[in-house]
Amino acid sequence: MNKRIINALCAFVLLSLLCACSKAEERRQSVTAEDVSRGLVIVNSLAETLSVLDGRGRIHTDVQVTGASPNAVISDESYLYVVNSLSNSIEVLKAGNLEMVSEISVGAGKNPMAAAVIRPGLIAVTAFLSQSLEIVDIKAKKVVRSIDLKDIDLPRDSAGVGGRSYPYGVAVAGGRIFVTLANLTDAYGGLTAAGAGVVVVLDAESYEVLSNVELSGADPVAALVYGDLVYIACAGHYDGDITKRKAQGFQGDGTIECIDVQSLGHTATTYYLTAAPFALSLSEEGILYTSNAMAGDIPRIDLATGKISYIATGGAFISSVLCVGEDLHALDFAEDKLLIIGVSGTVKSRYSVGDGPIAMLSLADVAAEGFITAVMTVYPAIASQGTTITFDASESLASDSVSGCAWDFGDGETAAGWTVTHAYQTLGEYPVTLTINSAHGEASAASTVRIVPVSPFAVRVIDYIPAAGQFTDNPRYANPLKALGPPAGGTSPYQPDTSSVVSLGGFGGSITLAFDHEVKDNPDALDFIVFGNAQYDQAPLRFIEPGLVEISPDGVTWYLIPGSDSGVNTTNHELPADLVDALADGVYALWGYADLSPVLALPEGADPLVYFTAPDDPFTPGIDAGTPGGDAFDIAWALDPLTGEPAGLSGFSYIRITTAMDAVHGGALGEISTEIDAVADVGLEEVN
Amino acid sequence: MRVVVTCVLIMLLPLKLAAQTIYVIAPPIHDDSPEVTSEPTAFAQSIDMDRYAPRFATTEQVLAQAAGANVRSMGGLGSYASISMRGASAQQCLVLIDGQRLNSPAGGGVDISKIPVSGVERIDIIRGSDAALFGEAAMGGIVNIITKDPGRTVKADLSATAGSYGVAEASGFLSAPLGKRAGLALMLSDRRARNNYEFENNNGTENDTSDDFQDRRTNNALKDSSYLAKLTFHPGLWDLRFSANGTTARKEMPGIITFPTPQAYQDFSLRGYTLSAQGPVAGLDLTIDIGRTDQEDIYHDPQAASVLSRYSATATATHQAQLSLAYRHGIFSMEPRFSYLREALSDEYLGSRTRATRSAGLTLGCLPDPFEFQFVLRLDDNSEFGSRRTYRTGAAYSLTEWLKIKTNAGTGYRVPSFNELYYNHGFIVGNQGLDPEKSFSWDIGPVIERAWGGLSCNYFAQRYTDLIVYVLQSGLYYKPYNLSRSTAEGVELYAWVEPWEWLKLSGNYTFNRALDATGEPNQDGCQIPGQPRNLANLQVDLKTSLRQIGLGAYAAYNYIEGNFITRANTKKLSDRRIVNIGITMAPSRRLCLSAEVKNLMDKQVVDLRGFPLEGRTYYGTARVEF
Repeated sequence: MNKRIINALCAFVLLSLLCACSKAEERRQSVTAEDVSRGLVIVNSLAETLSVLDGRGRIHTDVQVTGASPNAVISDESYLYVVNSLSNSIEVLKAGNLEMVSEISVGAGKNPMAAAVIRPGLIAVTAFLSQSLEIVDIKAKKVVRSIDLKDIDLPRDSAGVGGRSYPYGVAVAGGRIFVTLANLTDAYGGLTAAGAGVVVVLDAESYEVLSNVELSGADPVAALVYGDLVYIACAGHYDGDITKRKAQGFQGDGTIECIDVQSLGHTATTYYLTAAPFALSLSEEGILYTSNAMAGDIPRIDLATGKISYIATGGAFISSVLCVGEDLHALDFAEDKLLIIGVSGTVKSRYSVGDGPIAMLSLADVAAEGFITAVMTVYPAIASQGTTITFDASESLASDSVSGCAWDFGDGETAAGWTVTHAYQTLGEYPVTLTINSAHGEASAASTVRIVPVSPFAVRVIDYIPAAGQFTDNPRYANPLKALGPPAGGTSPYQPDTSSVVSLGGFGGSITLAFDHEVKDNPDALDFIVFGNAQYDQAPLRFIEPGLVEISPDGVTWYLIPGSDSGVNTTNHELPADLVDALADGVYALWGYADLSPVLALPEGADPLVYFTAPDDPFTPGIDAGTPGGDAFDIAWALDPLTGEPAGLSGFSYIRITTAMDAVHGGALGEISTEIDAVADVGLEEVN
Repeated sequence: MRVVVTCVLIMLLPLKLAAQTIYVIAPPIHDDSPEVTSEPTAFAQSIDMDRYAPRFATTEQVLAQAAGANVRSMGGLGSYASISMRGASAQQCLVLIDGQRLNSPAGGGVDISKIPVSGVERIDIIRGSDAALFGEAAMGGIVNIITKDPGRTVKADLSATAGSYGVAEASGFLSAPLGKRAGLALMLSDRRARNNYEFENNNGTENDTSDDFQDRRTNNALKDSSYLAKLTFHPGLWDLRFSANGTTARKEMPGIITFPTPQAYQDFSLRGYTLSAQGPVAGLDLTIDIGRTDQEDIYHDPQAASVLSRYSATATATHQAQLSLAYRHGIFSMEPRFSYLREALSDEYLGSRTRATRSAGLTLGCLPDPFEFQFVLRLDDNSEFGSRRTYRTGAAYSLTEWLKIKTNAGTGYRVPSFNELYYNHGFIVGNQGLDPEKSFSWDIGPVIERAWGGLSCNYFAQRYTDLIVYVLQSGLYYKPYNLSRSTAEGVELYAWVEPWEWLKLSGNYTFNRALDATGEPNQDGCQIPGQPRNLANLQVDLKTSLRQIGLGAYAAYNYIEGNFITRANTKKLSDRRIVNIGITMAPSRRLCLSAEVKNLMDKQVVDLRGFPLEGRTYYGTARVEF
């Protein structure tokens, strides 16, 4: 055998292997905060990434990954929220540099489509497949309300076929949430409109349905607020002949309609388009532009005259439009292009962006202060003389490195650092200021510390042993100092505050706190309050996360408060295995546990020493007037651990709260983990 | 850790005993041949299933160890699994049982998890486009599953497996001669699994690990039963066969993690019948094959979201008939072939559909030593898509008795499925204007076969055109179009060495540069999602005996580079690195026992996003031969 041939074969095999053996790498780019500054963020739904058009007209493609099939992006003061329709999540990014802060699950099978900011940190998300509106608390990283929209009345088609409501677009205006509902049926084969769409309007506080507004167009998919009006984009006009439309290939026959924010009436104006609009944007000159999912022509509506014209872009599928300054920006989904169109209607430039661009957002008005935000927290904000108080700036945001973090305690003392401590020696109120410096400038925050003779609130954390849970890995919710001082409370019983609570995690997680005095038993009244973050659903139903309460005079011997379930003890967690506490015979089924009742924020002008020490009746539904809610306890309820009989304590100085239910994974509602905002002695009003 | 140490010690044991006399080896280890008889020039692999006999194995696990095979699974035993080769999709690979097509006219790849390994004699895997010999859908490659024939003596065996997560399998095989000219083979098998394994649930937040938690797969159980009956008759020089095989299964369908379907399940049935005759007629070798395969898929999901299917039933029937006449004269051979294929489908969203393909083909062979040439030409006439010509040509040059250089070129095509043509439900609208997808392939490389080892290494290049992709029509509808193109090139290497009787090392490596060639921005030049670029398998088999007890052990390593999940290659799944180990013991000539640990290091792996696979699992198998 010819040796040359053998050598050649060996060379072939080796060469083949050398040519191979290379891995396929992910294609992603990096971006700097400077590039992001005042740029344009583009969501690429198929690449599952973000692209950025920076202020100098340069495109940075695929700079940040999103969840699966992102569909929309919105922002509040400092953050971007990307709606991931396939992974059912909301991705939270810093507006300054697109750094991911967190990703929040809205629940399996929900299929979120669009979102709108109710207020900073709280967003409304439409869930297409679960036919619901999800209220997501960004700081709590969870859905705090899920509003079922399945039973909304919808118009039927001429054959009497009724559709089902599929939420798509959403907008918030005037304290109301406007949700567009597509009215769809599969009775004709493919998913088609059974009739005109509807906009359901909900109260942004209670989430009660205020009105259903019937539209003339079908498939309403987007909503845009402009003054006292909400414009609705309907992607398809229902003409009663779905089969014909299919045969024609859906040529596009959408409408733009209008709802009055105050009267909730459908205004007389409806614009009929030869397009399928999926997004809306309004210029400063009062020109309304829409995307066109069927073609490259962008409808242009002059709201003053009602005149409709079309801008030819040469594209194939305009998925989104956005007015920034004088220019109109448009995304071509089919060609993966960003088009910039001048006032004359001509395309000035085309940029290649990521795969499947579907939504965009200008950062020109987001985090305009230079991507540095000072956030101060004080634990506790009310304390007695000599109490060690912790001042924390770690929740501040900065897009680049911070060069200085300075504290002025208001008593002539100063300090530097993200987290510092200080003790005041004299009674009074002290203004505290935090100043943060970075390359982008300076940001400051101010607060007040009140020094009283005796604090009614816990002033010291003795121990914090969280159990495994979905929040205890997050430093924001695993800070036990947040249980000190007065509670924050929510704006209503339906909207609890989650910014100032500490999570105890799953079953068995606990926190032990100390007062600076003995909490004394009042034989004729309730003695102390535990504040959590429970909330009402439809009062008097409550979303609860019960915690067992134990008290101790010395921190050594502990006395359990058994609550409404007399058989309960620290090893028995057979409480109702549901997050919802129902009303029974005019009284709450549960009492005597922590985190059962909502907590209200301090009313304007009220004194926290008075307001947060007024106990609510724990047995009856609702929050009594003049009280902040929370769960009030009587020291007399405590049991002797040896005999099981009432302990007859005269008072206590230490309190331990433990998550009482074993439900780490509570499905869509999340786990059951007791959260604590504060504890308060109710008998000190005269002292202070 | 203790498990690992124990297993390593057990595996090292045969090394120490290697010098002793070999008495009974269990399992018997046979080489997987790098050739199949039907196509001597093709780059192929013929897997002898006896190699797996005393172990627990599924069809998808066996195929995943073959060179060039890209097997993707959606879960544990019985969960949907598909195979593809050379950058093709699953539905561009043809899967046959005894030559009968399993590819459904409804579309989609063949779920190879439905095919039990019991009763299978061998699996031939032929890589490359070969529609000229096998017909439509043979674009990336062909998998032909060949069932066991009756033997000349009475043989029977019973096998039972118990494993993690409720896996239980029992099968029996009986082979008996019926007089001098006939034989009967029977196989029955039954499989059960709960498949309620744990996995790391990312809670839908793939970029945020703070809320990840340990979860358990639910609604994932399997029950299936299969049979095979084969009757052979040999009157004179003729070979007549009739076989019937069937499977009925109920699979629970857990759904994607972010969109679970906690009450969904699928009822599946497969029935196949084949009748073949082969014998001499006027100096020619006549072969007649007639077959019918019926498949029924019923999907139930009472809690499905309203826009998705709560119930769907699809029944398909595939009729095949083929007649060929082989003539050989000296170094020349010629085989004209005529075939007929009729596909019928009944589905509530597709209605009743039928189509037929009449084909005529010719195979020419020439064997001038040391060369082999083969040329195949075929003309298909499809009732929906008209006529189409395909060819395949191959050549082999034997430099020595043990070294060959082979090269092949061929074409393939796939007609659009009934789903792609006519579906009209939910978010999908069919397109009756579709054309068939087309492919061209060529490959070249050496094959070495020695008594102590062998090697097959080839370069391949494939081109796919008119590929069908679903395009978003508006915000709600997708419609398929012939818009895409792709290419694939790479290297397929398969090697084994058996330096001593007690040791065999084998492995394969596939480099698969499967690229999008649509010319579209963000796609063109990107690796195709679902097509890992690098795949490798390594296996060590040991065998010996101790005090007349046959002992065997194996350790296998499987590496698959992560799949891209976006066509722009912006996101990729994790690489897969799995180690499986097992031991076998034959305390008597009739009894063989095995114990295995799969995914020894308990790695969290996934082939498709949202469908976690099992972690570490344990299996024990007993096999009795009579």
